Amino acid sequence: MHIAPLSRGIGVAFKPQHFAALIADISGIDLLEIHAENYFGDGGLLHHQLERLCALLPLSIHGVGLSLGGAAPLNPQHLQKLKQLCDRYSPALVSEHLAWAGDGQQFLADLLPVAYTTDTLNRSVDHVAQLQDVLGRRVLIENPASYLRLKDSHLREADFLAELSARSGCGLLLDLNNLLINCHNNGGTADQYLRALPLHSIGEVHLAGHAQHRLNNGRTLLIDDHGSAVTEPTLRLYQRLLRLAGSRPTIIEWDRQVPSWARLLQEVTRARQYQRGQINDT
Amino acid sequence: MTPDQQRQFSQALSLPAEPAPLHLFAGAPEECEQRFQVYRNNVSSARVDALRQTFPVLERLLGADYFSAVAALFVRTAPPPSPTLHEYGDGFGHFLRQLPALSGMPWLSEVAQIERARVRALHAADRQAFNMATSIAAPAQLLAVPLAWHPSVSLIRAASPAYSLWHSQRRSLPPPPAEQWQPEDVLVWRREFDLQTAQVSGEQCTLLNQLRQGLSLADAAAATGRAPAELAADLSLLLAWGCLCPA
Repeated sequence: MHIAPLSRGIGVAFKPQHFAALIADISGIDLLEIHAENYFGDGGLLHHQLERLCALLPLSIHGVGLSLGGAAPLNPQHLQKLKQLCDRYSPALVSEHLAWAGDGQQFLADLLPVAYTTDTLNRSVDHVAQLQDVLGRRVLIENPASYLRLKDSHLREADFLAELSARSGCGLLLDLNNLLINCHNNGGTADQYLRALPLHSIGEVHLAGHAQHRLNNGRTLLIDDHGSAVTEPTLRLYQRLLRLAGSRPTIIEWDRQVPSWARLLQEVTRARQYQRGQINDT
Repeated sequence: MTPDQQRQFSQALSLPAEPAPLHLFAGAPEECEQRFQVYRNNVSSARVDALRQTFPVLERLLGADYFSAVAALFVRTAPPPSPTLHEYGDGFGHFLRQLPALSGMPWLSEVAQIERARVRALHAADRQAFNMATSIAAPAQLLAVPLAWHPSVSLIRAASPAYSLWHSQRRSLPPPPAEQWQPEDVLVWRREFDLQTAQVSGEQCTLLNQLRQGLSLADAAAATGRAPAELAADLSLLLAWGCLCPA
């Protein structure tokens, strides 16, 4: 079981179809991420696989459904399930999103945008503090991808995250794909964003691919679909972050049109070359 | 967002007929409408995909496009209550039964029950099955041992040949012909980590239901009027399948 703090390494978002290839040769990756809610069941093959993998690799448990940015109180059953999962697997990293995904009555199955206001900040600080109290540990909060700007927002996203981290004590999971998507969709530059973040608070990095969607007025939206290879602009931004902040444990997310394990390993190898400073293309 | 604004947002996401809550967004209304549509598509496709993963045989029986259409209707009337999406879809079979266009196919809801039972079994708690070979009970004592269902077990008493239908679609075989259109009882469970689905007899169903109520084999035999020896074959099979545990 690996619970030592991680400072570097490249891993992937785990897909059960890769289990056989992964268990046959674990050496290609340094850590593994799972979506927490997929493991809220009591037993069966998924847990059996995870137990075997956890004996070999550090684990990152990544929640997608707690609605930390939502108006409703956190669901106590969901919190308890997450705690049981963390107690069972002692993950090296635990993370959730600055987003909401339900309204207490229904799960909306998407990460929905938060208005960057003082009220939302206060509520998010309370929710993150509650989560950290329940789990008895620091968590990392991920910057979301967004396709809309909410009219009430008066804080910049990076400032909101910085304040959330300072007040709750949480770390940040910086998703560089989401960062680029938001800058493209809603304005701002990646440089401005990175300058506003407390880089020392970043505990994990996500890399992923995105799709393009053309609007009627000819503009494009970038869509966070995790359905393709990490794009070159995202890798260049990764390189910039590495120079500014140093190495962080990094996860490649490829969740749709899931590639073969061999293809996914190519992505891991490329990211590792960046992390080790073996690629200098800027 | 205030709770009220969030409610407006989520309601418009779930119900395509609702107008987008444009007053919440910054930017030109027409563009905001299209941007909001991205969220609508994400929400609908994620929920429909969750049903598609649970009901692959229903998708095959209905065709992918028709399945997507009825699944989209279902998610609007019965959205998932929690992010644990493998628990979602219990009412889907009943919903299909209520649709006028599918009212002549009540067996669809029984195939749906099989598929939901399989997903439940996949995630059910681990528990050691009762093993006669390692049991300390002598054969005579076995009669008094209370047994229980493995946590993964579901028993479906279908009015249609639901198992044959389900099996035919999985193996690309012809569906059962009209002259073999008989009720079937279906057992779903997990044998360690492997999902199992089998047709069982009426006697096996009765025995399973009695054991579920906590009856020992001797009590079950007394309740059915069958001699313990007559139950031996059924019990041996159920034990060999690994679907019974010490109570």
